[in-house]
Amino acid sequence: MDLMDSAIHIALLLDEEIKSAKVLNEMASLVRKERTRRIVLHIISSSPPPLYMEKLRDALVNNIAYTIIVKYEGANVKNLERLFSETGRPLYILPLNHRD
Amino acid sequence: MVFEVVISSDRTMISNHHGREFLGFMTTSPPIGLPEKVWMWLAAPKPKVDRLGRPVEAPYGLRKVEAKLLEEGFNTAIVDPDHIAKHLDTMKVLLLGHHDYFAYGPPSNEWWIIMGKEPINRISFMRFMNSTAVREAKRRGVKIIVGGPAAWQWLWEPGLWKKWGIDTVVEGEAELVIGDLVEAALNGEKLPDYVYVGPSDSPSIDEISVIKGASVNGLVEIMRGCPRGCKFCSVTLRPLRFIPLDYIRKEIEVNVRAGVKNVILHSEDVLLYHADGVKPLPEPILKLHKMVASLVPGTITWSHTSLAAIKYSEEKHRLITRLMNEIILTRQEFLGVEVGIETGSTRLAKTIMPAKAAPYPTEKWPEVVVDAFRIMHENRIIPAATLILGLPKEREDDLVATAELLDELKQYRSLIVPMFFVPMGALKNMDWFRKHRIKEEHIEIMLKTLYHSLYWAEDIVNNFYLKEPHMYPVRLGIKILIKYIRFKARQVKPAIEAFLQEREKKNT
Repeated sequence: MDLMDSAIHIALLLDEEIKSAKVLNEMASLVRKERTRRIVLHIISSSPPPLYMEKLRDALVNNIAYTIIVKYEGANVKNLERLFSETGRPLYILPLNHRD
Repeated sequence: MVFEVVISSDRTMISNHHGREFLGFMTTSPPIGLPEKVWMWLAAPKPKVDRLGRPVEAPYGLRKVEAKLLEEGFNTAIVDPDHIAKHLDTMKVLLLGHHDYFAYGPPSNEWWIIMGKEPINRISFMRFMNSTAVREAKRRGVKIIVGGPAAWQWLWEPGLWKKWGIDTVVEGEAELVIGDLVEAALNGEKLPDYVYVGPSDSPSIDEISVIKGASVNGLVEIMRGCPRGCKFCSVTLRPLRFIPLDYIRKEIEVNVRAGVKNVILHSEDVLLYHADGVKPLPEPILKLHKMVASLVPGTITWSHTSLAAIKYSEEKHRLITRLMNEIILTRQEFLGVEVGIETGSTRLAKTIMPAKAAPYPTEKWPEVVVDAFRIMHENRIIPAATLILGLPKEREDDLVATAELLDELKQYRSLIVPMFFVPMGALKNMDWFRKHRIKEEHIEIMLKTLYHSLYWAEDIVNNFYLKEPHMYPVRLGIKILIKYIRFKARQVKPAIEAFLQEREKKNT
C-alpha cells in the first residue's frame, strides 16, 4: 500500500500493560525522529482481531495528526522481528519498557 | 455486465428521500406514532434502479469512491441493497459507507436516549448486515471494507466487526488508499484491520475524482475542510481545499443528465467558498451561483453555512439580499440550509469554538446569531439549526444563556434541534453526554426547541415545503407526525415536571 511508503513500523505489544497517553507520546517521539507522519502499527496480542481494538481504541481516538495503519501479527513478536531483520528495515517495539 | 467490487449501504442511505434531503433526517429517529414500514416509506423510500440494481441516485461519498476506483480501472458499481444477491457469483469485494452505522452520531443517539428505542438507521443497517445476501457473500469469501464519516463507530463495536467479518475499517478521506486496499483484497493479500487517513494524506484537488453517476438530490461538494477550528468538529481537522468551478460544473452535468434537476451545494460553510479567510467575498459566491443557476433547472439548496458568514456577507456586501433577489428567489420560494448555534454562552464559545463568530469577536456571538437569523428570515432562507448539549466544561449558566438566546429567536422561521455531545474532532477523547447527566436546564432547552420547531414546522409545511400535488401523501404524513408530536409533548409534560421535582427533592 502506498501509504506504507515512508511510514515507520512499530510493533505494539498489547498484552503488556499499556497507557494510551504514554504509547502515543512514544509514537510521537518516533515519528518526529523519523520525520514522517505515517505509522504502521503491527499489533502483537493474544486477543484476535478485531477484539484487540478494545485495548487500542483509546490510543486511536487520541490521534488526529498521523496516518495510522493497523495490522494484526499474532501473539508473538519474534516472527515479526525476524521478518524485519531479513529486510533490513527498522522495527520499533512499544511500550519501550516492555518485558522481553 | 458483472461487478467484482460492489459498493453499497442499507436502505436509509440508498434513497433519495422523495427528493427532499431533509426528510432523510427522519432516519435518525425511531419510528414515532407510525408503523416502521410507514416511517421508512416517509424517510427512505426505495430509489429507481436499473436491471443490475444500480440506483439512479446514490450517496455522494459512495459516488466519489466509485469514481476513483473506475478511474483506476476496477470493475465496480454502486448497487442497491435489495439487489446485492444479483452479484454474488462475481463479487470479490464489498465496500460499505454510512453517515451513522450504529446511531452513535448526533442526533440519532439523542433520540435513542430520549425515546429508549433504537433509531431506524441502526436497525436498518443491522438488518442489511444480517441479510441473506451479505451473509452469503461473506460465506463465499468476499472481503468487506467499511468507511465513510461514521467509520469511527466500528471502534465501539468490535463484537459486530468480528461477527460480520469486516476485513478493514477506513477512517478519513479514502481517495489515496482505497485503490490499494481493493487491489490487495482482489489479490488475496492480508488486509490491515484499520486505516486512519491523517490530514497530510488528504487528497489534493487533482487526486479527487469527478463523480460518474448521479448523487442523491444532486449534492455536489464545493469545498473540503473548514478554517474555523471548532473543537467538536472532525471536518475542520482536514486541509481547506476549494473545488474548481469546472469540477462543480461537470458533476452538476452528470446529475442533470441522469434526471436529477436540483442541486445541493455542499460545504461546511458555503459562503466561505474562495473567501478571504473567514470573510466571504461576493464575486466568487455570485459567480458560483450564476453558473449553477444556468445548469440546474430545479432548486438550489445549501448544505451548511455559518451564522457569522451570513451576517458579515450582508452587512459588508449586501450579498445575501443580492444572491436571493438576483438568483435564488427568481426560481424558487426559499433556500434551505443547516447552521450551527451550538451554544448561547460566550464563555463556552471561547473554549470550544473561538473562531465560530469570526470575523466578529466571540463576545458578540449571541448578537451574531440573532442578526443572522433576522437576515435569513427577511430573505426567505430557512435554517435548520443545531445546539450541542453536554459539551465538556459546560456549566448551568451556559445553559441559561442558551435558553435566553432561544427566546430571542422565537420570531424567526427556523427549526432548532438540540444534539447531545458526541466525542468527535479534537474532542474525540472526551466523555459522551449520557442520560444520567441530563439536568433541568437541558430539559428546558429541549422543550423550548421542541415548541419552536413544531410551530415553525407547521408554517413551513403549509407555505413552503412539499407543495407539489404528487407530494400530498408525504405532506399529509408529515402533518400527522407534527400533530402527534405536539399531542405527546402535552402528554409527557406532567411527567417531566414530576421528574424535575423529584430530582430537586433528591438534591435538597
